[in-house]
Amino acid sequence: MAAFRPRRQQGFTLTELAVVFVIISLLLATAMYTLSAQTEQRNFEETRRRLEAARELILAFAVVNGRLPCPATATSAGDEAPLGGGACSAPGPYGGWLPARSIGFQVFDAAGYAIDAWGNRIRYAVSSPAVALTGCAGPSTQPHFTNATNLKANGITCQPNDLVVCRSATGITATTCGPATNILTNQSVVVALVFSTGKNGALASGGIDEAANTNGDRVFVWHTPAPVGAANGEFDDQITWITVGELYAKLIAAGLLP
Amino acid sequence: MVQRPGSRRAQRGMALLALLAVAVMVFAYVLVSRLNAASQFVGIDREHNAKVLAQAKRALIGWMAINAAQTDRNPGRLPCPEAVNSIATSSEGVSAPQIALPGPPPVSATPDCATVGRLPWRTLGLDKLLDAASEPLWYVVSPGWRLQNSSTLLNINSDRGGAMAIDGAAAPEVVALIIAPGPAMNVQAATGCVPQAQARAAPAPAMDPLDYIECFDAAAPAPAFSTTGPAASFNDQVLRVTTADLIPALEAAVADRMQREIAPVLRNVYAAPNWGLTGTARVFPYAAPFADPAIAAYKGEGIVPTTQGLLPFNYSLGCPGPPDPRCDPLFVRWSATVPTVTLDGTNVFPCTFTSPSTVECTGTYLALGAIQLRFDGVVNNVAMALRTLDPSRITVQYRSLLLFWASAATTTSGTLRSDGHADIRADATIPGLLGLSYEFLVNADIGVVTDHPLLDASSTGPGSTGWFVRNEWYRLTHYAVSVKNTASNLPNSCAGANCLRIDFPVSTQNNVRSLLVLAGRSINGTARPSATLANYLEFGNNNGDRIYEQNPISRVLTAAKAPFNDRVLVVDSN
Repeated sequence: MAAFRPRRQQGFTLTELAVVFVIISLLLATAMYTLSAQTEQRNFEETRRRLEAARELILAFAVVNGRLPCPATATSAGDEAPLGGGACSAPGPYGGWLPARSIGFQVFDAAGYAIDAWGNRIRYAVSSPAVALTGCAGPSTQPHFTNATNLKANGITCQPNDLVVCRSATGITATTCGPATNILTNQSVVVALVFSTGKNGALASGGIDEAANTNGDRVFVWHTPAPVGAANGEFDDQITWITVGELYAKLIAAGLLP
Repeated sequence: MVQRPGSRRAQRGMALLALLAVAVMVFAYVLVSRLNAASQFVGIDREHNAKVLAQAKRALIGWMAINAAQTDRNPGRLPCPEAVNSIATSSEGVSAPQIALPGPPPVSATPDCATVGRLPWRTLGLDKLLDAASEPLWYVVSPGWRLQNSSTLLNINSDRGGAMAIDGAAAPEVVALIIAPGPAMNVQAATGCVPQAQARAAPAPAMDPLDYIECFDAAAPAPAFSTTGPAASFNDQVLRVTTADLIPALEAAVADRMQREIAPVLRNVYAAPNWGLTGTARVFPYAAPFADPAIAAYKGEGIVPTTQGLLPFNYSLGCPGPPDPRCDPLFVRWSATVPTVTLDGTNVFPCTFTSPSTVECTGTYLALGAIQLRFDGVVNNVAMALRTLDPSRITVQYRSLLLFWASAATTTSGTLRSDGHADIRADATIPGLLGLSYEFLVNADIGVVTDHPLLDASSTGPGSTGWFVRNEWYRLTHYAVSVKNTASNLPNSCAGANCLRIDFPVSTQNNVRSLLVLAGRSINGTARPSATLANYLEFGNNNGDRIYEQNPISRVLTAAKAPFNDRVLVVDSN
């Protein structure tokens, strides 16, 4: 009769397990980092998509109403203020929010304001009646872009003369981009802007470029995202704008102008 | 027992595993290759490209419309592609010729406006739009729709088309292309495609368009471009800008400009205090009967008592080398009635025609002191044309028998007659002294009734109306006047049912003395020019009665009165 011999132990050593855990940890970290980056990228693209959708809805609003909407205010619950357009309510044409309810924007918060992919409210600025129009061959009664009657009477020769987009906040004033090299758009082409303050919400962590977009004046800044520590601070705002040509082309095609 | 290698027990399925691995690798290769191929041009990319292309197109049309409505002397022109010397500078995206920011787009004398280049996004007011491959958009503009240099004069109106060949065939309906170039590719030879291994270095003025867009020949007599091609030779996504896209916006702008610039001028061609009219009286010329407005047939001569038709855009001065039927020095001419000179209201001297266009009057007189000289002549067909007085074309001179000729100050006036002709009168005071003998000489040129500035195609300065005649918008403009506001009813004006009437969708204007109708492009499929009025005007605007209608501009066939693209402009009303 053969003697019983215990089977040889074949488990993993602690060293082997440690190596495996390290490898798994590295893989998980890499995956999480990639997933996080992809989430950010997806939010960025989703916000861009929402801004473009808002842009199209504003133009559609113009075709239906013969004018651009005023921004929503802090108390208008996502409607333009005042309802019916005209002279836009305080804080005025530059410092409000996208009038989500007025234009039919579908993604909004509990208070009715359009939001970006990070849950921050989407902002909106429209050319102000306080700044004289340029190029008008006939009357130039204000407000022009937010009043259907005036827009029709003034005609398509009138161009805005206030909103402007700059490359950076360095050298800008409350009305201009400053040096010619800092100008991104001509001062007579932009009738409205829609923008997101990005993931950081343009709050404490924002730099001077982001601050320029929320200071309530008519000068805005747009460039590719910049990290914390960039010369003008972190920048993750996204902006799209409507040119006067696009607006008039829409209204002409709809038979509303001239 | 030792087993031999290769024996049945040694088989552990390794060959099968190896085969499986090979199969998996082949499958993975095929799968990845297919995914990779598909990803080059997937729907999401095309959708993105379609959005940015549409945005660019809309901005382009709007840019054109605003410029056409303002003071551009070439209404309808499109911007040049991006100035190559702006590429990779802070002015990138500016249309050629180079312009500065901010401000309106002046042009320089540099003839650097190419057929093909990158989209001038900054000039259009856009952001730098990128396609799905992160490439800036490209742009092609047809000859005839862009300024070569600052002195270029274009000839754009509703009937104009492009001069390009698209996909191998003439495509006059295409005036511009906006192109998403897609990723670089190794372009294979194909019909219309030149082999090119596209290499894209950093953007620079020396960029070769062939490194971005495929299958074109910008140097061909008619620049040839493609909107599609074999997959191995073509990956551009191309959006056409057609006359159907562009012309309605142009017509809207031109109608707006006609209301501002043409109607006021037309309103005052024959108005008080000239032409024997007083107060607020105005007379409008008779219309030229509608005819094929092609230059070979359209003389533009008004006829009594025609009150509806084409503008009487005939002219007398500066007839071009190739005969222009509209230029007829013998239409507005001296009447056969001999002009006269009357001295002191009593002594009448007949004049003589020294040529069909010139009159000379001479005589002698004896006077103790200064006396009045009056010239009277008749010019035919003034109210069948657009004319204005040029007093410098009647001169009065005098001399005593021993002295040289001296000029007398002259006052010239004209008075319309009910037959459409005009009495021309010039008054001067000439001297007399102690009964000495004097001689007078009056020279009157038909140029005293000269072409109205509205007819001047060469005027290009600010505020000039040369664009209207230069671009032949008058051929596309219907003209109507109430018979009560023509020369045959001086000095009456229309009232009530005598006036023209315009029916708008929800209102009526029943006091119109004169109006214009911009006919717009052909929307019934007929070729232009045409001798049929219904090929220009729609519905009630072509039936010859006094009632016109301004329906919504629409190509929606289900609308009550559509398609409709007439634009009715009031020239004058009570």
